[in-house]
Parts: sequence; structure tokens; C-alpha cells
Amino acid sequence: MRAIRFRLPADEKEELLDALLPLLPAGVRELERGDEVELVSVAAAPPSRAALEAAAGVELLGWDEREVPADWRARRALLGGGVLVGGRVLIRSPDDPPPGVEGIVDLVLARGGGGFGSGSHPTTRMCLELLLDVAPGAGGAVDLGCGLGTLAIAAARLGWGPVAGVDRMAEAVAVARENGERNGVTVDFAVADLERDPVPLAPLVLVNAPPPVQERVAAAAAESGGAAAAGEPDGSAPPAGRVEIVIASGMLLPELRAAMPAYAAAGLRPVRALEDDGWAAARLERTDA
Amino acid sequence: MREDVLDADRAAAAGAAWGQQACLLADGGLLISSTRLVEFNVRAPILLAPGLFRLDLTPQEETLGVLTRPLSSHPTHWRADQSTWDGYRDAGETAPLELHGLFELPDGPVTAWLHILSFTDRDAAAVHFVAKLELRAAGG
Repeated sequence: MRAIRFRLPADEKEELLDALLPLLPAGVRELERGDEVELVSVAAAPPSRAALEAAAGVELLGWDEREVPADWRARRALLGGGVLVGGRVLIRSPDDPPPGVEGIVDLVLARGGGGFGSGSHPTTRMCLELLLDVAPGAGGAVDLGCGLGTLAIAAARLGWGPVAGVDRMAEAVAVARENGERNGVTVDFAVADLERDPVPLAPLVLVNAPPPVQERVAAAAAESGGAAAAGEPDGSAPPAGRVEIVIASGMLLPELRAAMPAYAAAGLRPVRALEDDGWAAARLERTDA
Repeated sequence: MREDVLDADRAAAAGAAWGQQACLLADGGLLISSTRLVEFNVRAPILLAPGLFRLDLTPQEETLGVLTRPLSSHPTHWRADQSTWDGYRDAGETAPLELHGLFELPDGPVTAWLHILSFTDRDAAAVHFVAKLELRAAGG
């Protein structure tokens, strides 16, 4: 297999791809490079640079062509992968190479069980970015709808503790437990359906989940009245402490706006919000202390 | 114009690089069909309706990037049923993603009905796609 790599001006990319993609049926990986976009295409017999430039009618910048392994795992280890969030946290699969620089929180997450949290979705990335702003506090954190355990493991790696995580999918919780061990952190993962079961609370609540779950979390935070935690997932003891911070996502922007009054009733108001591709996230902090 | 976009030979030739096929339907419409295996994080052309649009898909582990890239300046309208929005990730659902399009060409509108079926093969870090497009002249 051979990989070709070249750059295009970002503002002309779509027009040029109209000419190039029919010659690159294997498709392209798109990597943002400031005002340019770097494209990588892998095929057994990719078209020549001359053929592509003739089709595009422009010179292709930074042309590179090399032999690469046919096996995608070997290729991924060579070409790299993973998602870097906030310049500080790398979410990658065990098949991706480790970060090449020091000081990066390296989250190695196996996929499986239908669990969410690979970092490919903007809500995961926004939750992490909002989490990076906050200094770890006493009393721990809970990840509601933890999927692969991404946010819970990140919180533990950033210094929060004790940390718990719940998800309604038993298969995802099993993968999350493995991921916790893989990343050398202690997180109490358990199965719970947050649309029915008691909602575990902690000073930091991470809830990347749809509106019905947000409503229950806000109600639980309000009912707790700033007191200790409520509920026990799967019989395990939840982290104790009043809810001080909620990082909420898993919603489109109108849904996030609609969820704010319920959180305000619990004394939690937004201090920072992010939006990406229609999805929204907010960090809410207690204001009635 | 409508005659061109409903031409099976033209459609088959446009997507020949990935084996796209096209044939006329009994009611005078055009069927374009294509199947592809696309690696995660790769944007690949899946189906091309010359003079109308190109369907590019970018499968990721939890999301699917769907782009109907217009290939003309004529007004185009797309809509999808809400049930389509989460169809990619929910392994319990086998229903296809379904899009309906309307192309306002100078000599009359053309309607599009696009079906996309997918099967994620995590061992291969790739997704199999089957796309089917039916185009029909509308409004006489």
C-alpha cells in the first residue's frame, strides 16, 4: 500500500476536492494545518501527482508519497491517531502511538460494548475542555452516562477522587472497568439506568447525556439541598459531597438552554459554555453558597 | 437538463472509479447504487449523481459525517426524518439512514430518495456502506 500526502488552501478545499475525489476513491483524511488542509490518501495504486494536479488545475503543496503497511493497526501506529483536547489530554486507542511530547495526560481507551467516549464526538471533547479549567476539589466526582469511562478516568488522572461512573449498558461498564485498570486509576464503575435509578451525586458531576437524564440530575441536585450524596449505583457507595460543579453536555444548543432553569433551581448556573457542530456543553457552578 | 441527470450511462461513468452502477427504473426514474468499505476518519465519495450532488461519508467511531456536496448552482433542498439522526450509532437499529432531496432544475424539479445502510466492522476499523439513490422527474 502507498500513502500520498499533500496540502490545499483551506478556503479552496471543497472546490478542489470536486476534481480530486473522483480520482481518490479510497477517500482522504483531512488534517487542519492553519490556512491549509493536509490530505492523506492510502491505496494500492494511488494516482500520480501529475494526474492529480492536472485534474485540480493547481500545484499540490508539500507532496509526499511512501510505502505504508496494509494492516490498519500497523499503519495507525505509523501515521498516528487519537484526539488531543485542550492541548493537554490525548484520547487514543491502544493501537495509537503515545504522545510524542511530555506533559500530556495520555488516556488509552479500548472501545467496545457500544460505549461512548472515544473522543470522536464533540460532546466528549467539550466536557474534557471544560473539566481542564477546574482545579480538583475535595469530595470527588461522578460521571453519569460514563460509556467507556473517558470522563471519569480523565477526572481521576487530573486529580479528582474518589471517582465513580455509571452507565445503563453493562457491556460498556465492563469496558470502562478495563479502561480504568489500563490507565492506572481507581474508579468505581457500576450499572445504573439514570432515567429510573437513583442518581449518584458528588461535588463534581459530569453528565454527557440526553435531556431526560439532565432533568433527573438537576432534580436530584435540587432535592439534595446541598447536602450529601443521594443514591447508590449497583450497591456501591457513591462519592459523598454537595454538588458544586456540573459539566453538562450530550445536548444540542436549544436542549442545553432548556435544561438551564432546572439546574438554576438547584443553585447551579452556567459559567462557561461551548458549542461545536450544533452540540453544546456548559460548566455550571454553585452560586448560592 | 433533467434528461442529462437521469442518464444511466452518464451516472455509471461518473462513479466508475468505485464501481457505481446505474439503471433506468420502470417508471422512468434513475437508480444509482454503490457499495464501499471506508476506514474510520476517512472522507470517501460514496455515490455521485452527475450534475446534482456527490455523497461523501466520513465514518468515525461514534459519529457519521454526511455531506451531500452540491454539483450545481440550482436550488437544492434536503430533509431527513428524525429517526435517521441516530441510526448510525445505535447497533440495535437496522433501519437505513434516509434522506429526501429536491433539485429545482430550470426545466423542472427532480426528486431524490437516498438510502444508506451501514455495518461497522471494528476489527477492520472500517464501515461497510451500501447507498441507493432513486431520482425522478417531478411535476410533469
